[in-house]
Amino acid sequence: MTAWKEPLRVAQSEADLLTVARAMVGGMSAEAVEPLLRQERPMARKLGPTAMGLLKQTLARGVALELGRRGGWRPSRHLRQGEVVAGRMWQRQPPQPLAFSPWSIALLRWLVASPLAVTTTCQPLSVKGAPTIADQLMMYLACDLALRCDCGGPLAASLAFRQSPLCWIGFPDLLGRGQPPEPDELTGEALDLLVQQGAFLLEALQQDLCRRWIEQERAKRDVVKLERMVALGQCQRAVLERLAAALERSDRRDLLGFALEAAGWLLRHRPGPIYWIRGIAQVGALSARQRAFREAAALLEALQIPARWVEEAQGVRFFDDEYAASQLLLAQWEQVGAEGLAHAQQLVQQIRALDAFVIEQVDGAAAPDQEVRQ
Amino acid sequence: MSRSYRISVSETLRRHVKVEDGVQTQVELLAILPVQRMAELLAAELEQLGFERDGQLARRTDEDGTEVTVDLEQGTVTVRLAAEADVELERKRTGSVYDRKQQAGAEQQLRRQLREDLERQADARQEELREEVTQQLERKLRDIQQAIDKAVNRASASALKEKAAQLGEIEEISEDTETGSLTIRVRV
Repeated sequence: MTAWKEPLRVAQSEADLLTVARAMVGGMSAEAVEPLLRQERPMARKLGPTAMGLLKQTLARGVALELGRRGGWRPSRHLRQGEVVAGRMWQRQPPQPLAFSPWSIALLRWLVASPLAVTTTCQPLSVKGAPTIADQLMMYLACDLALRCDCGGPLAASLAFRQSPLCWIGFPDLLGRGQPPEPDELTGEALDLLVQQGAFLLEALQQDLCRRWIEQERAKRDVVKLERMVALGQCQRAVLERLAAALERSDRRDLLGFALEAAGWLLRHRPGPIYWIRGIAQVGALSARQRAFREAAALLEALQIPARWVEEAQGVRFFDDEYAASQLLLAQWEQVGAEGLAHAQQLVQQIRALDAFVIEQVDGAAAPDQEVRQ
Repeated sequence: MSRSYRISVSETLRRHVKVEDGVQTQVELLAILPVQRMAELLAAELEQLGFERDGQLARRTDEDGTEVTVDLEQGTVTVRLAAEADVELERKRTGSVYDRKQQAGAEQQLRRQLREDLERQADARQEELREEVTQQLERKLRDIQQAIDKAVNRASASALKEKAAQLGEIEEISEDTETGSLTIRVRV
């Protein structure tokens, strides 16, 4: 018979912090912690040893599990020093250490203490020093949680989030509410560092990133403000172009697979341009509308980058060093394919044409979301 | 018993409003011949549609004021429409105060509110005019796009014929205006 163990006791604010941490790693629903995020509450100056122990335990167990849930479980193929390795996240590589610095604790404290529902009065997150890759993952999870609780404004206003390349890759719609990334917010160096040190995270999050990009594209048809569409498109364009450049520099083009998968899924029912621009089809001046239309097609236009890679990959011969990487890229590209690319190009052309503004039947668009995914 | 003082102010706002709307797109002109020659062929086709050539540009202004400009070398098509109107608004407003000393301040406040109202109304009129311009332009865009597409296709066909003539002796040309297909038989 198991002996009764006294439950561990922590302060109320510590319990709140642990609850938010659990929600971030998928141990609790977003709804359960929404009041904690939305309200302002006092926090103890430091975490006690019991709470710290529980937090360590939560992160150690929860983060790995959450990475698995978000796509790490899926057998997939990725590059490792030019060679293709296949399997699930834990089969492709030895366990990767994740070092959470005081940065993560500051983030959790901020999430609990700040009234995230009130963007105007909420102080932005400010932490000294650079976050580790694990801290960036915590920020990524925080973005997801805040988005689900509809209180992401203060995150978008915090430089700490705006300087995280992982957050930009996953949440350009959230961070781009204010404005697209400044050159010093999404830098090539930060992306290079992420690709070199955090490639295993990007691999594990491919499915999650794909889901996020499909969500963003589907949400475009409900955008009714031209400025919002312009900001979203500019963010997506900046993220994809800068990420693609970083992946080229590191020879890790396979990590753009999430965008190909998302585009392939969106294009497979051959939707018309109205699918992207329905909400803004008859809003505002034509000059402003045209700019918004063009930005709505940011992902479709960005397909030109992997299309160029594919052209290069098709020329690699089987005895060349890059043959395995090229074949992997070609396999990933099959999700879009030549027909998908042609359709994307046609959509871009239609969106840019003069008669794109002549919308006769707004609801006549084929909807590619008829089936539920994942 | 207290007396109230009635204040009445009137303000007039005259504004000349100018609104403009326009769009720009790109036509795909195949590089069959050198850029300058393709531009000349396109210019010739556009002239038949009422465009006037001005160096690298071909321009047409329709009766309703719609301006269509085609950059022959870049392939950029710009369509714009502007409109102007004189807006004259006059409004009166009355108010009352119970203290004569407050009369001047209250009148100033009423006048300021009235001016703000007039500004808002003038902005609304400007926006209405802009919407009219946008709707007018929207109605024309499809026709303009189709006309320019046809001109580009005819210019491409002419370019193909010239290219074929450069390759050898043209024996036969068959052209289907409905489908736009063009077959040229050349003896090299």
